[in-house]
Amino acid sequence: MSDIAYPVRANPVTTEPRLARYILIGTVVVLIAILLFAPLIAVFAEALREGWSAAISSLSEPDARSAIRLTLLVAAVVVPLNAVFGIAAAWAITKFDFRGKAFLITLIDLPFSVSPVVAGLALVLLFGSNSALGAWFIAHDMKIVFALPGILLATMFVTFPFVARELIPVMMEQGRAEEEAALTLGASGWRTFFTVTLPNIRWALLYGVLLCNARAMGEFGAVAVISGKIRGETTTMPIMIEMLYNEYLSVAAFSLAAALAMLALVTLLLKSLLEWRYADLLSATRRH
Amino acid sequence: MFVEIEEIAKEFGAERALHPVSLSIPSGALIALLGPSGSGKTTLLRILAGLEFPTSGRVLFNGEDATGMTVQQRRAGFVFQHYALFRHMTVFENVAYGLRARKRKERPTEAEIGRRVNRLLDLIQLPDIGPRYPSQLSGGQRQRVALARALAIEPRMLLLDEPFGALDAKVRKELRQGLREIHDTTGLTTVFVTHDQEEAMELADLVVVMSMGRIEQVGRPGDIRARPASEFVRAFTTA
Repeated sequence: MSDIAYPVRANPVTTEPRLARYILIGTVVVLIAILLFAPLIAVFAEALREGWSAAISSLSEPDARSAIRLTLLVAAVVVPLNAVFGIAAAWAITKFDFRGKAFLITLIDLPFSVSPVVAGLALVLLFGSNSALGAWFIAHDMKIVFALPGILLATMFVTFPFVARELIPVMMEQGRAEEEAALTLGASGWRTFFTVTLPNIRWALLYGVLLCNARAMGEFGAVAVISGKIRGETTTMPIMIEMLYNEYLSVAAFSLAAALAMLALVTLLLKSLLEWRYADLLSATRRH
Repeated sequence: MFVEIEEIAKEFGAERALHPVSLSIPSGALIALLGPSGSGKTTLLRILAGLEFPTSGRVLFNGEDATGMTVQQRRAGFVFQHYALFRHMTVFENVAYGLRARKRKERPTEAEIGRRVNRLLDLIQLPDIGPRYPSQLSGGQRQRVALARALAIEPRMLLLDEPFGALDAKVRKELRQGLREIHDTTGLTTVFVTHDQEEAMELADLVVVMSMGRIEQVGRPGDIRARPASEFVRAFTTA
């Protein structure tokens, strides 16, 4: 300890002048308010314009209920499948060396760079009645286009990269040493995966699954093309919202939109809850 | 267990990591693979562990061909350069991992696992750190936990990749002594990789000097110092 008393600096050295700080913080707050909060509030306000009962009764219309059911079904099928594919792809890319790896990474990114409408059209071309493949499916009494399988395929295509993209950087950074250590300790490949790899990527996996889920429920373009928009049969929530809106059924449209937004908010809330619950474990395992 | 390496070569694509090399490791010896980076010493160690497979040549354990043995079958205790502790497990679970990974009928009871882990934590002189996570340990402590984890499987040999590389000079000296003591009490055939000639000379019974994928010289530390087989060995061991 020194005897000389230095004047205490209240602010850390990285701080900016007061004016600059206020301008920067103010800009961020305004942007967040305009871009994120205002639209969300507008949707809920519009949905509740004629009161709760109007909103709820429009949600209990058979078509609205079938749209909600279909969207939940699509998410329930697509998200687990894409989680498994994403883990498998990320595992292969980060833990092994093989020819064509760069190509595979590009391929995984393809759905990000292709417009969903194009993806939907491509699926219609591939499985429609004019193609050999489509004719074969129709001959065997399986409907792909304008039916649930087509919606699932389109949604899977569009949401394919989310889990893999989230996992690859994390697994890349973690390297292979822990897996190799498990193997030298006598663990089998599966045991290594379940006791070492999976616990190490669980948070990235959770984020990937949440993003994938949000997109799977919200996908419009690809599904709009391939579903044929058959009311009460192949209309998912986003499609139904657009149809109601085009019919000037504003309360019904915004009630369904609010319900869709609620589904997203619930998943976000779930994520925050998990993070809060496991905060200690997170900080202990992330450093290292 | 004694180990023989017969004409082992390893290529990564077009790159030659090891020219055919041969080496005999007597049972219970403490051996250093010494060389600059890119000399093939780590590749040779990983081939012994079964983490890498040679392009040609054979590895023999106690006179038996072990070349095709999987990494699990070889039961070599391996200490990684950056320890590779399981970051989401406590120290206790890290050390217990190899015992829990055993087949059901060979797996010790929970009480027995506890006893063995605690005995190993005593051996590395860190008896109280079982509940801690690796991120809460110092570099030297992590290294010792990695050693305990490798010893827990009752390995047939001990392989260490630059075990003291990432530590400061004082801790390194202490751990060197610790490794020597553990080697002497367990009697395990031990091979460690290092680029530090002083470390190799001080710790090992037998030093294998490597360069560019070839073994330049094998000998006792004193002999290598007194009669270096090549200009490279002389330059590298007096550096």
